[in-house]
Amino acid sequence: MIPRMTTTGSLRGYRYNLQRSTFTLNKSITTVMTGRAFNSFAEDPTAAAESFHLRRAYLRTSSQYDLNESTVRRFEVAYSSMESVEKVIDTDPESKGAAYYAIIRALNDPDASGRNALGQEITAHANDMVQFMNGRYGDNFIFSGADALNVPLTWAPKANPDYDADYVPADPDKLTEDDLKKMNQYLTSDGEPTDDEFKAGRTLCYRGVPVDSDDPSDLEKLDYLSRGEKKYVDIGLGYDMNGGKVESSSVYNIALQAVDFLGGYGQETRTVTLPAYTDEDGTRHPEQSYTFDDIPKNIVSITDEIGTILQRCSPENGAFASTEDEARFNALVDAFEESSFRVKDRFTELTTQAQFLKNNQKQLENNAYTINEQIQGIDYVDPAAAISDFIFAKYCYDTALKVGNSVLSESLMDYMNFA
Amino acid sequence: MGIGTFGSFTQARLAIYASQTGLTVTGNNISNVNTKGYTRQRLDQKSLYNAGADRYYSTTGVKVGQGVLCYGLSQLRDPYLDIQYRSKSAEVGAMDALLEGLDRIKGVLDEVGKGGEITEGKEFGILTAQFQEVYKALNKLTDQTGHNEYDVQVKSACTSLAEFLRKYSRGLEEQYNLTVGKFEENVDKVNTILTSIRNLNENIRQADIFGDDALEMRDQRNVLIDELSEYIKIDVSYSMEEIGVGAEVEKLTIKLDNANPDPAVHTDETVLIDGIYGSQLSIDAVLNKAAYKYMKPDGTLTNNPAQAETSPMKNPNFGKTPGVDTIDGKYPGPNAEYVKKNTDGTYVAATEADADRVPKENPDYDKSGKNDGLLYMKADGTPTAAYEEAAHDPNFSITVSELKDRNGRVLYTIGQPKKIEMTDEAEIKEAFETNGGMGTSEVDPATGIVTITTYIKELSDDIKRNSLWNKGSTTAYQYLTSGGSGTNDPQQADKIYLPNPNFGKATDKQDTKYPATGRYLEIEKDADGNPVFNADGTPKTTGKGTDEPADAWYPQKNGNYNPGDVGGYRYVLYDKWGTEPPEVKDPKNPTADELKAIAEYYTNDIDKARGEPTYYKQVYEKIPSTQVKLDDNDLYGRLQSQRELLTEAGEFTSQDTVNNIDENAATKRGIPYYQKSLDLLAHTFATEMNRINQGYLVTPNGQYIDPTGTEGETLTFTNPADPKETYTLNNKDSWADVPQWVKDGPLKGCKSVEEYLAKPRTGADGKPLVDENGKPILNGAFRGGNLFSNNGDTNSDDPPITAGNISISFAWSSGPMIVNSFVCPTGFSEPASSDSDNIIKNFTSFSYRSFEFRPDTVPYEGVENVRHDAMFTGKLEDMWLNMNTVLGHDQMIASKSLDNAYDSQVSIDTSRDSVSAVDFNDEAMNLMMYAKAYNAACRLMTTIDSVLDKLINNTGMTT
Repeated sequence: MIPRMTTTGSLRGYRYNLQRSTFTLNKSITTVMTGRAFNSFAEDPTAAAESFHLRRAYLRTSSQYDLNESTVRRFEVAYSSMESVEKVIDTDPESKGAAYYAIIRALNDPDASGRNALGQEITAHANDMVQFMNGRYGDNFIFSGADALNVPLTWAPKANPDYDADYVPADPDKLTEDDLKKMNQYLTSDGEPTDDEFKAGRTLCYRGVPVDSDDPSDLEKLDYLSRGEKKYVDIGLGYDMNGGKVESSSVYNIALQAVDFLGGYGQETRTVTLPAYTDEDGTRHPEQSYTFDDIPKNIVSITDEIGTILQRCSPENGAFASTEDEARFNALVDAFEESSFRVKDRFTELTTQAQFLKNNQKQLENNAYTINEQIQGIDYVDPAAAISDFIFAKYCYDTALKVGNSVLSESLMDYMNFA
Repeated sequence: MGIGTFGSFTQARLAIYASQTGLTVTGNNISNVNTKGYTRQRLDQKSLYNAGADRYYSTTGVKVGQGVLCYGLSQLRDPYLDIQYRSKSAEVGAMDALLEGLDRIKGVLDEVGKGGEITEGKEFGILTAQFQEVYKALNKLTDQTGHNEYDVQVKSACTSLAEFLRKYSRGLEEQYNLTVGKFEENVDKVNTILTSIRNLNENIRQADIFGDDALEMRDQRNVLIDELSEYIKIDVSYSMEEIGVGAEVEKLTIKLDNANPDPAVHTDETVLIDGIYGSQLSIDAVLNKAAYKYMKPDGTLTNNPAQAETSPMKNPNFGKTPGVDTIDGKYPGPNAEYVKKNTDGTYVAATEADADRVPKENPDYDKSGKNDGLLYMKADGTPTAAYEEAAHDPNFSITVSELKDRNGRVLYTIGQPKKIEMTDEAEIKEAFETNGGMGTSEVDPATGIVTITTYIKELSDDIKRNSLWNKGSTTAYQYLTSGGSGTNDPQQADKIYLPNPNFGKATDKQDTKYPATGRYLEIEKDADGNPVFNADGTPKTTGKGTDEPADAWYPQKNGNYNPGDVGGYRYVLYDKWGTEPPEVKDPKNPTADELKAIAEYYTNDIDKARGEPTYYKQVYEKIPSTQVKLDDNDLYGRLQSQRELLTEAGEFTSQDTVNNIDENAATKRGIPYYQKSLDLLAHTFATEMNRINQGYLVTPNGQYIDPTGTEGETLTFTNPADPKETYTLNNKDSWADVPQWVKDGPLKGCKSVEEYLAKPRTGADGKPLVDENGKPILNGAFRGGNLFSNNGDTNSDDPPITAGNISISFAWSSGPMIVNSFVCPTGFSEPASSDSDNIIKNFTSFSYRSFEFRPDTVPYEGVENVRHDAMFTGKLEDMWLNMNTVLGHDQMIASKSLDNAYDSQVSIDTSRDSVSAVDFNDEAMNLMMYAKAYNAACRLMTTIDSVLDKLINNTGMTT
C-alpha cells in the first residue's frame, strides 16, 4: 500500500528538514567565520585533546625558550668576565698589561729595582680578577654557584692558625712570642701575629671559605661547592626524573663556581732549586732547593701572593727579602703558569657551553614553529574546503526554502470549482 | 415488504442529512488541520434496511434499502504507531535532557577556542593555559631563585589558577542548582499532565455513559499522553470497565513501561493512571530522623507502630540492682529479660519467643517530643513540617503517590472473594444469631487493606411436602382471593376496606365513635404488615381515619375455614421429618391440642420445611492503592536523565550505591562526576604543592641538619653501648633501617623519623628549647608550610581542599613562602641563597609527573566505600583534558543518539500523520463527494415529488 502523505505530515517533514538545513548552514557559517575545525570537545574529542596537548607543549617550549635566552645572556656575561680574566693571566710573554708580563719582568734580575712597583701592579691584577668574577647579570652574581644573591669572592684578613680565643697567658705583663702567637687573631702579610684587622694580610675566600686553605673542613666545603653544587634549569632537554632525582642530562646546570674558573682551590707542594751564584762580596752560594707544601692553586691567590712577595723586595735594589721569598716567588710563578692553563681550559668549556645554549635556542625556536604548524593542521580548516561546504549548505538551504514555497501550498483545493 | 408511498421522501431526506453531516465533518477536519493532536474524523454511514420477513410471502416483493443512516463518527488512529511514537518520545526526551545538561556543563568546562584571539591562534584555553603560567613562573623562579618578586609571580599564577578552579566549581554548582530547578519544574509538569489525563478520563467516561464519542477530548488526552511519554516511558492500554446494568465503558490505564533492566524489580510497572484515578510524583525529601518513633523492617522510618518491625518486649527492670536502681513494680524482677502482659494489666516474665511483640524504636527519635510532626529537614539542617520547605533527598528518588480520584478518594482494588464453609458452631452462632448474619469489615492498620466478610446461609433443597395438600380446598384456607380461591397469605387475599362513617358528614352530625377525618378507618398491622384482627374476628382499627387505602384494608376471610383441615399446608416442618402426622379425631371440630400439633407439624414457609442449611463466609479484600517508592532505574525519559545529571558520579560512586541502588552507577556521569573530578584535580594540585613545600633541611647526602648547629652539623647519635658506633638520621633510610639502639634511645616513643623531627627539642634541663624569636626549636630544621589552604584566611587544609575552596594560604599571601631548597651545602646550615633544588626537583616536575587520581582521595560526608583504584593516571593538565574529553565523548554520544531518536520520532510521527492527520486533497475529495451526493439527493427528492405528483394529481384523471 502506498503510504498516505498528508498535509500535516508533509508540513512536519518539511519543518524538520528545513530545521536541519538551517542548522547545517549555521554550522558551516561558524566554521568559515572562525576558521576552526571544531569549536568544542564534543565535535571532535580526540582532535581537541591532541590540540591541547600540542598547545601545552607550545607554551612549555615558549617558557623554555625564554629561560634559555636568559641563560644565554648569563653565559655571555660570564664569557665576557672570563675574557677579561684571561687577558690578565695571559702567559704570552709579549702580552703587555697582563699579570704574567709583570711577573716575567720581576723574574728578570735586570729589572729587579722595579719589583716593588711590579708587585703593586700584580696585586692590582689580583684585585681586578676578583672584580671581574664578582660581576652580575641582573641581580645575580654570575660566578656564585647556587648562591647568586651573595658576592662570591671576598678578601678576608689572613687568619692566624695558632690563635686560641680562650688562651690566657701565664704572665700578662711579660708576654712571650708564643703568647703573642696564640693571642692574635690575624697574621700580617709578613707572617707576624697581629690583632689589627687592617694590618693583617689577606686571604681570598669563596663564599666565605678560604680558597687556599688546607683545613680539611674547608676543603670539604670547597669540594662540594666546586663539584657537588648544581643549579638546574629546564630548558627543554627532556626533563626526566629517576629515583626521586632529576636526571642531570635532562636539565641544564647554570651554577658557575668562581673558584672552579680561577684555577681551583687548596694548596699544592712545589720544589724549586735556586741556582748557585756569587754575591757582591764574592761569596759563592751553592745551588739550593726549597720545597713548599702550601703553594695555592687558585690563580688569584697566587697572583696576590706574588704581588705581596715583590712588594717586600728591597726598594733600593729590588732584592728579595729572603732567599726563601725568592724560592717561593719562583714556585708561585710555576704555579701561576699551571693555574692559568686550568683557567683557560674552563674558559674553553664555558665557550662550548655558551655555544650549546645558542644552538638549543634555535632548536627550541624550531620546535615551537613545528608545534604551531601541527596546531594549525589540527585546529583550523582549509578555507577552500570550509567555503565549499558553506556554499553547498547554502544551496541546500535555498532549495529547501523554494520547496516550501512552491510545493506545499498547492492542493486539490486550489483547483476546485463549484461554480 | 415494499417501501411505502412516501417512504422515498424519507430516503431522499436521509441522503440530504447524510451529505450535509459529511460536509460538516469535512469542514471540521479542514478547520482543524493545524490543531495540535487533532485526529481526522470520518462519518460512519450505513444503508438503512428494515430487517425481518414480511408476514406473507410475496414472489413479487423486492426488498430495497430505505436510505442511509449516519450512526457515528470515528477517529482514524493506529495504536501501534502510538506505542512506537511514545517509546521513541521517551528516548528523545531522555537524550534531549541529557544533552541539554551536558551542554550546560560544557558551557562551564569546555575551553576549546577560548583563551585568546581567534585570529592569533592563541586559544590555549583558560585553565590549561593557567597551569602553564604556573610552570612558566616556576621556571623563572629556577633562574631567579631567591628574588621575592619571582616568588610573587608564582603566587600570582597560582592565585589565578585557584580563582579559575573556584569559578569553574561555582559554575558547576550553578548548573547543578539550575538542573534541580528544572527537575522540580518537570516533576510538577508531569503531575499537571497526570491530573489533566485523570480529569479527561472522567469526562470521557461520563460522555461514554451518555453515548457521546468525545473525540475531541480523546485528541486532547492523546496530546497529553504524547507529552507525558517524553518525560517518562509509559505503557498505555485501554480496557472495558463494567459500570453496572451490563454496560461497559472504556478505561485508560497508564503504567511505567518496565524500564528497569533488573527483572526482579516490579516497581517499574507502577500504575500512574487507572481510569478516573491518578497518581502524582514527588521527589523524596530528607527526613528528620528525630521525628519518627519506629523503624520498619527495611530500616526506613515510620510513626505507624503497625508498620514497624517488632521485637520481643524487654523488661525495664532487667539487669537492675535492687536497692540501687529504681525497680518498676509493674514488671518482674531484674532476672527476667523479656515480658508479656498479663490479663490483670501487669507483666510477667516470658521467653524471647513468648514475649509480647513491641514496635522497634528508632534510636534517633527525640523523646522530648520537640521534633514531633517536623518530619523533614531543610537544606540548612533545621527541621520543618512542610514538605515544600524540605531539602531533596540527595538521590532525588521519586515516589509515586496512591491513585486517587478527583475528590481525593483512594482507589481500592477488590480481590477475588474466597467462600469458606463454616463448621464451628460457636462461630455460626455468633455470625448468624448474635450478629444476625451481618457482614463485617476490618482494616489492617499496617497496610490499610480492608477485609470484608459476608455470611451466607445456604438453604437445603431437600423439602418434604404435605401429601394432603389440596390447592382447591374450600375449608383449608383462612382467606379468599378476589378469584374465590383459598389462600393463607393475607396479602394475596381480596382486600376489603373499612369506610369511615363520618366521612363527608358535617361535624355536628358525626358519630364520635369514629374519627372525624379520613375516608377510611385505619387498620392496625403486625410486624409483617398484615392486618390484625380482634378476638371476635373483626379487623382491629387504630381509631384513626386515613385517606390511604393501603392503611385501611383487611383480607377477605374464608367463612368455611376449618383449622383442622391440613390440606391448606404445603410442607412438613423440617424437624418433624420422620415423625407421624398429628392425629385429629374430628377434623371438623379439632381440639386446641390437635390444632397446636398441626401448627407444629405443618408449615407453608418453605424455608422451615427445608433440610439442614449450610453456613458459609465469603471473605474478600479491598486493597488500597499505596505509595510506591521507585527504584533508581524505574524511569526512562527526560525526568530520569535530569535525575541522573543530578546524581550520577561515575567513578566516584560509592560501592554501596552500586550494590544497592544501581549496578551501572559507576559508568554514568552527571554533574557530581564533573564536580568531584574538578575537586580531585584541585585537591591533588594543592596537596602536592603543600607537601613538597615543607620538610627538613638536609646535607647533600640527605642527612638531617641539626637546627642548633651553624656549620652543617647533622643529627648524629652515638651508641652508648659502643661509643665507636654512630648513626646519622637521613632521608634515605626507612624506619626499618634505623638501628634499634637509636629507636630505643633518642627516638624513643616515635614511630617514624618524621615524628622525631617534628618534636620540640629539649635542653639538658628537659625544658623545650626556643629560638631568638621565642619559637620552639624542633629536632629537625623545619622549613616551609602550606602554600594552599581551604580558606584564604588560614593555612589549614582540613576540611580538605577542593575546587570550591582552594585558596592561597594566609602565610603565602603574607609573604614569600616557596622553599627553594632543603639542601644545605656541605659545612653549611642553610641552603645556598639561590639554590633551586626543591623547585626543579619537585615543583617543575608538576608539568611532567604522572599522578594517580583516585576517586576516594577527597572524602565527602555520607559517601563511604568509594573506589580506591586510580580512575586516571597522568599529569595534572591531562586530568583536566581527560574531564573535557569524557564530557566531549558523552556529549557526542548523546547528540548522535538524540539525532537518531528524533529522526525516528519524526518518521514515526509522519507515519502516524499518514493515518490520523488531515490532508487537503482527501478533504477536497470529500467536499466534492458530499456536495455531489447532496445535489443528487436533492435531485432524488425532486424526482420523487415529480412522480408522486403524476400519480396523485394526474393518474386516472380525465380532462
